[in-house]
Amino acid sequence: MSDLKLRKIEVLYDFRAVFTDMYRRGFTDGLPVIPATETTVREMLDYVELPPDEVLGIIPPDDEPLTATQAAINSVMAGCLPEYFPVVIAAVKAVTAPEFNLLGIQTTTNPVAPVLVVNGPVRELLDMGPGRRANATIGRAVNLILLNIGGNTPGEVDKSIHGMPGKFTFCFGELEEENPWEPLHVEHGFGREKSIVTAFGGQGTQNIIAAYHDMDNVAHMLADAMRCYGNNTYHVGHGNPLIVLNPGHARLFAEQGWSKKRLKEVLFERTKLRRSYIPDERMFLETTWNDYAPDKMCDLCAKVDDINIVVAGGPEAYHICYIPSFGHTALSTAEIILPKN
Amino acid sequence: MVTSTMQMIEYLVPTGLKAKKKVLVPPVGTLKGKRIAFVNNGWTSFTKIGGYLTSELKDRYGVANVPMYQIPPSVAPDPKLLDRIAAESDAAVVGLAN
Repeated sequence: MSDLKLRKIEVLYDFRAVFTDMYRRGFTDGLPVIPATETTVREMLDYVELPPDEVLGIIPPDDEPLTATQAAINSVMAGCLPEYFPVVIAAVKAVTAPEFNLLGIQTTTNPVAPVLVVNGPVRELLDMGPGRRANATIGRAVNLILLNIGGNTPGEVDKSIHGMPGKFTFCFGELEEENPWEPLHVEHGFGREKSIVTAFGGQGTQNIIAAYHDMDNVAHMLADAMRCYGNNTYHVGHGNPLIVLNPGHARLFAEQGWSKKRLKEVLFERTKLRRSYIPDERMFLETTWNDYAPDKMCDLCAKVDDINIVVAGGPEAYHICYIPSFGHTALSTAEIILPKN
Repeated sequence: MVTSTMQMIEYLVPTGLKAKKKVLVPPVGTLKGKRIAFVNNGWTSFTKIGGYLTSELKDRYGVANVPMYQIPPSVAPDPKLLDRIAAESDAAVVGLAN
């Protein structure tokens, strides 16, 4: 066990004492954690067959190297089983890709956190779904890593003015089997048989109750909810707005002849805003529209395909979830490498 | 009070190894005749405050030059630009004013 190069703290064997000690030292997100031991960390590392010192990524703003051992410790603390660890590793790879701009996400005043969408066979292997341990703990492990390795202490380094519940955990699997179109990972060039995690820099959830039979009306209502020029994508002209359609709506869209591409195109067009709709006063931060002529249109994001649509949730065809983007970020994907046996 | 009969547990520390050494910026001493840069990441409010501070630095403290460098908001600036700022300035202040 000496090769793990572990630092240990001894406390009274009492759940409350352990949690209190870890909380006091700033090791937690405020919720109870499972204390990591040599045995449980070794189980994680053995499952993925990684050397303990392998560096999985550099975590800003402290720019600390994240070793497999440190990732395993945080994953145990979050409540992960060893089978979840490959997803955590892939998620770390996704969020540390330059285009994701983790430095900005860790330190901005915006309420933004990694939103992790899982595709492929791993979803079934891990029994992903609402209220499931995999969903809750994989997302939490990533956020504990961002805290404990990246050093984004809320209120001090993480300057998010209101925070966001997704800073605890935000991870779900796409319901590919209920998606009449290509699932997210196939759309981004991966084989359907691959297990992939996609990270978005998301800013919470906006619910839209679109109880219509005509899908054009549903698209209209959805676009209306997305057409909020206070969202960062309007300000900076970039980012990946994410729509989570329920399976019922997705099926009805397809039955009425809508492709995913057409839905994106309609949303991109209907979310355009005329500059004259926005107050004339210059904002005190730079924004895309500050110098626009009154008739110039402001876009939700840079281009149609920057909008992403996934299918998840219960079957009823009326609730839609919209996850606005931080804007200074691009989605990032990583393959989940599962053990051979 | 912990007694010898109480059971203890060792847990593993989850933080990084803090391998990266923090570089302390040497103090500039007197401001007179110095070049003090402002780095503005897109807040027009800082453009205003920075202008006021520039006047104060020059008039009250004899600062020779206060160049303003623009960097993109919410992303890390190009390291080459940071090197340039370091080469051209005695000290630099990142401005937000938000």
